[in-house]
Amino acid sequence: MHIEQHTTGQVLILKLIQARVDLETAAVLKTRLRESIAAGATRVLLDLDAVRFIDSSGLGAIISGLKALGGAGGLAISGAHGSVRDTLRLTRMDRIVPVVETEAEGVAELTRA
Amino acid sequence: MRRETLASRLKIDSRASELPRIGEALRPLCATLHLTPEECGRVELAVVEAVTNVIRHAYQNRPGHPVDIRFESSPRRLVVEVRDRGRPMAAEALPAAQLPEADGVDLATLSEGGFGLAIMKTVMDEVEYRSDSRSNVLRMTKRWPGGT
Repeated sequence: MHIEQHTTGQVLILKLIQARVDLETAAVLKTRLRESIAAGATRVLLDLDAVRFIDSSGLGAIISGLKALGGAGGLAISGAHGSVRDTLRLTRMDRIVPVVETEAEGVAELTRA
Repeated sequence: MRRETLASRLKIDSRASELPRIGEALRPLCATLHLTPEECGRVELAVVEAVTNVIRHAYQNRPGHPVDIRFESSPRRLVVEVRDRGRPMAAEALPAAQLPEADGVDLATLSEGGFGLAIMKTVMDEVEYRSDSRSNVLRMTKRWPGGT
């Protein structure tokens, strides 16, 4: 899995360049999230625009990042669409983590947090 | 009314890189059943969760073992069976599985895993599991309005 990253204000944006986040690729996301948070990131936006499929392995990686934050700062998801957005809704993940349309909305959401 | 039943089979190896083949196998069946992309995506999710459990738990992440997936579709109904020859699942796992509570979520107790079975139960109308000395079989049935 390739993950591009940049920072806007205090928000670290991780853009997944990967069509599937499943058992094969979720560990990469989990490691990257935990390393970024260990390095000091407290507001993390995951851009899932390029992702076409996510399963419980991918959701587990996101929850792992949320737990690593330990309630400080925040984590949000942007760009989720189609099957990915449906899976976030189906699993109620969208009630655990803010899910927004655009990067700008995500940055605003996390800057308020 | 003619009731056509279509059956297909996908045999894969117990490795994560095989998971995309599930969606590829399902797409023609989804077209036959006239499922929306969302409905087809949910069925793919349920089957991927079932096979992921087989890889992780039945075969303990060891490649080189068979996973046999059988699809049987008739108008408004789809049955998927996932068979393996690994460790059987604990009897209480399937009835106990549930999605995480989303309201008033407690980070300390929020689990990073274990949603696979709950996703299958949420997406499909029936999920059954049986195990004998030869194999384990997870059978999932999805019905759509007007189906039997």
